[in-house]
Amino acid sequence: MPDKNTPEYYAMGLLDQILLQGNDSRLYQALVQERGYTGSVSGGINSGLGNMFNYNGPMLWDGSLVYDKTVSADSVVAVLDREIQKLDKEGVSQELLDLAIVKMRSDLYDQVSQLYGFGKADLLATFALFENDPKRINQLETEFRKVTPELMQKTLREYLRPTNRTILTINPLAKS
Amino acid sequence: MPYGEIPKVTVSMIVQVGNVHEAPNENGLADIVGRLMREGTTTLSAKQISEKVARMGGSLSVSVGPNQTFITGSVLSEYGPELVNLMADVVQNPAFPPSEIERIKNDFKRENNLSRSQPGTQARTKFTMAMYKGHPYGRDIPTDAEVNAYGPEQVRDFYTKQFGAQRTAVYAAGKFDEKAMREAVTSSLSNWTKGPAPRIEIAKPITKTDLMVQDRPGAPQSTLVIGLPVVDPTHPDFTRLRVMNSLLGGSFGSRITSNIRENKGYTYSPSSSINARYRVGEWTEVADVTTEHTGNSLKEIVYEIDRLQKEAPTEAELEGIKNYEAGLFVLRNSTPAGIIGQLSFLDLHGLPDSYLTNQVKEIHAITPKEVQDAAKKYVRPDEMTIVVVGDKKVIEPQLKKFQAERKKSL
Repeated sequence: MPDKNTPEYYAMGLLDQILLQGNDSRLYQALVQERGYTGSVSGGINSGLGNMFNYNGPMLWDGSLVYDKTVSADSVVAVLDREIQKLDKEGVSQELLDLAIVKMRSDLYDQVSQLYGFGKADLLATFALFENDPKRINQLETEFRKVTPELMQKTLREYLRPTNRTILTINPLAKS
Repeated sequence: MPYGEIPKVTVSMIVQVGNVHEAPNENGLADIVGRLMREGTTTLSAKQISEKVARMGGSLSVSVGPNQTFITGSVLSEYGPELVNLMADVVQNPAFPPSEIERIKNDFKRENNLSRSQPGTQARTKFTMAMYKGHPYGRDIPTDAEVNAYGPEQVRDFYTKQFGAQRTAVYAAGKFDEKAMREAVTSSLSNWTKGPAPRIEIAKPITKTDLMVQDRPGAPQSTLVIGLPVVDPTHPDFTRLRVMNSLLGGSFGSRITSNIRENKGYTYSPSSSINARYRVGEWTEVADVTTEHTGNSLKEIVYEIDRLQKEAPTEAELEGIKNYEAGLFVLRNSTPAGIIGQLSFLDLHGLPDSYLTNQVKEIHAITPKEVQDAAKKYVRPDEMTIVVVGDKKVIEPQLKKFQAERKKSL
């Protein structure tokens, strides 16, 4: 992940929405809907532990899936590469950016209402602890709205490079 | 049901069609039908549905349970009526595109094979297969061969035979324009075919003293399921049974958990629960325990049941549990999805509103003697079915010892 609270950090939040969140996302469409490699893809920023706000320091953007033995790990990675390249080549239109912002706004509401409202307390506490500014909770939408198509492309090229990533494959049938 | 301040609305169309409606040669077909409903309508592809929902800032899913199919969506409030129209299209006009059937079947087989490999699923499946033998509740996880047999005709046929307005209820919770939502529901669903009347064949659960072991050579842990049939939510004892369960093993501070987790350290996350099915239900204690203490864990579980049967809990202990149960009730009603869950629970079981409105009062009225009586009446260790998935050669002597000691104590 780009450093927290940088413009690229917010852009990466929106790239996550486009690539990985929801059934309309590029990776769901490519891996599930079009190829049937898997039934679902999951992941995100600080996934499995929290959300893109309640951490400090370095962080990963990650995704995971369970795929069939008949599919090779390389073909899964090839789809990932292709989708990232496609987004780079075509660029992120304002329409796509607006869609990502709507999804992000909806996600934020879900986070605020998580655990019977503790989600809101958690965000307030997070911003108080890490930024000494609990009011940041009210500025998140504005920060995402500052993201431009150009910044999206810059962030994609800088952070979603193949050389930046680690791939883990768990193969239960592999002989040790 | 208007709820909360967050500008989102959750809508569920819940159809009384689930695995319970499958014929013996249709094991898992309800899942395939439900999943395929999300794969496109006569006018929209799956991708188009996904894009539409994303533009509303939301999600739409179809899931299938033992008794019901849930079409559920959640979007930003201003898109509520639009979501209703989309969901009405999904539920009424599924295309069941032949191009998607193989993929959906493959996804389903992959998930089934994965869950079949997990000891927890193995134990629970073995348990329910024994308890509900001969009824759809007691079927095994669908095999690849069973799933392979389903084609477009069976899918279409199952949908036509089972789905329709009479079996469907629509729920909305969150922030929304009530008038606009009501209009959307009425206009989008009023022409739907009536379909069959709601009907669920009532199971006859089997109470049987039994111990079944499934071998998992070298397993460091044994997975235990121990339990028996109990009454369902329509029975007047149900709330008492639930509070008793919370005290015995259903809450973190409960007796069985304190014993085998906190004091003995045999297990990390033991838990008892009541599974409320349609007009039947079962009480079970489930735990993953260390292999060397498999027999001891069963002994302690039964010890705690005996203790509660012999002696009523103190007022103070019960008071803590009652506060916990009453608090949980409030939390269950504290999310849009939770509220919908409660309302659909009433509908499935045919319960009056007073089941919810009087619940906290009824919980607080329960006496220690009633808890003891409920334990005596319903949680009878010597009529329980026990399933253990673990390292057979290590645990078998332990299980024999447990059984012999139990026999002697009676």
